[in-house]
Amino acid sequence: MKKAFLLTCLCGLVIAASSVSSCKKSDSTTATMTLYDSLGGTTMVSDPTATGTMIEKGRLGLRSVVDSTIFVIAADTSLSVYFATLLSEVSASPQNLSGFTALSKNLTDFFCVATGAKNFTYSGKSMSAAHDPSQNSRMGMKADSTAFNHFVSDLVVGAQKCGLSNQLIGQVGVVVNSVKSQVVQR
Amino acid sequence: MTTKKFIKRSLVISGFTLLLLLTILCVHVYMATRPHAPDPDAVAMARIDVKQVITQADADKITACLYQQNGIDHVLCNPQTGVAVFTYYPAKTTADLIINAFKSQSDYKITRFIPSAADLAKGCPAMSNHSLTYKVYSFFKHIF
Repeated sequence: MKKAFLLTCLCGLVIAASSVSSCKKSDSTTATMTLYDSLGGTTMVSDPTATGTMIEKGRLGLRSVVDSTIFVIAADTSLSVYFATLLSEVSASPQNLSGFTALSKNLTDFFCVATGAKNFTYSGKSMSAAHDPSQNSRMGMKADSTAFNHFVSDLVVGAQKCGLSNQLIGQVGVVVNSVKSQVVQR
Repeated sequence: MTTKKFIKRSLVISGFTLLLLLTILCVHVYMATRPHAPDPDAVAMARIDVKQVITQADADKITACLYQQNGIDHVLCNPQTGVAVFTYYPAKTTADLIINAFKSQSDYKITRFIPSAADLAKGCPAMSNHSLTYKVYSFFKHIF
């Protein structure tokens, strides 16, 4: 009788412990699920633009959206004035990058960090400093709300061209809108 | 006398060492920043302005024609702005070659848009030109 009681208690304890641990696991997974994870996260896949190179699936997804958006912006005369460097050719710099590749890399880094990637860093200026002409000579004038909204709509077009779902586009939009007050300075 | 000699010798050796290190640094920077052949996977972007009103059908034709050119990576033509942008592999071709081939194969009135040096200096703020690396690179680029 005593043995049966002890066995029942032990079983109960094991079940309780396992249910607690499984709850904990599912809670932490939900809590740490970032937009970067939704885009594929750290799963390594082959990079379609560089033979024999692997890339995180989340970064590849973001880079596709960034590249697609860059095309939309470059063909949009109201915004392309801000992005003239896109048309500079491959430089002799140590990185051997063209204007397109450099911008693609910097914006992808920014979005990776902003969406929760752990293995990348954004080394550019803060959004506020980068868009302030007194702190950044490359910013000809302060950006207004119209230019920002134009950027967002080009981003949506770019993301749609990549086949990103409306739900994920909405999440990217939230990230972009979170820096609106730092970008729009007039 | 001996101390003077020692100081003199030390100064000569230090100066020689500094000169040697500076020379090595210059050679290293030159080797690192000298023009390299473009990476086979590197892409660059160019822009064509169509000097006439175009429709979506025209934009599709322009896109298709550009895709036929050697070394093309990706094309987008916006009929509202009359702008076509494309990326290409500099290891295989140049933007001018692509545009000349396009001109010879179509009747569209086009010009290549090339931003001025001043425009390039006012580029996207995400591409900082204030970094130490960029400044060192620019300094030595002007020297060599």
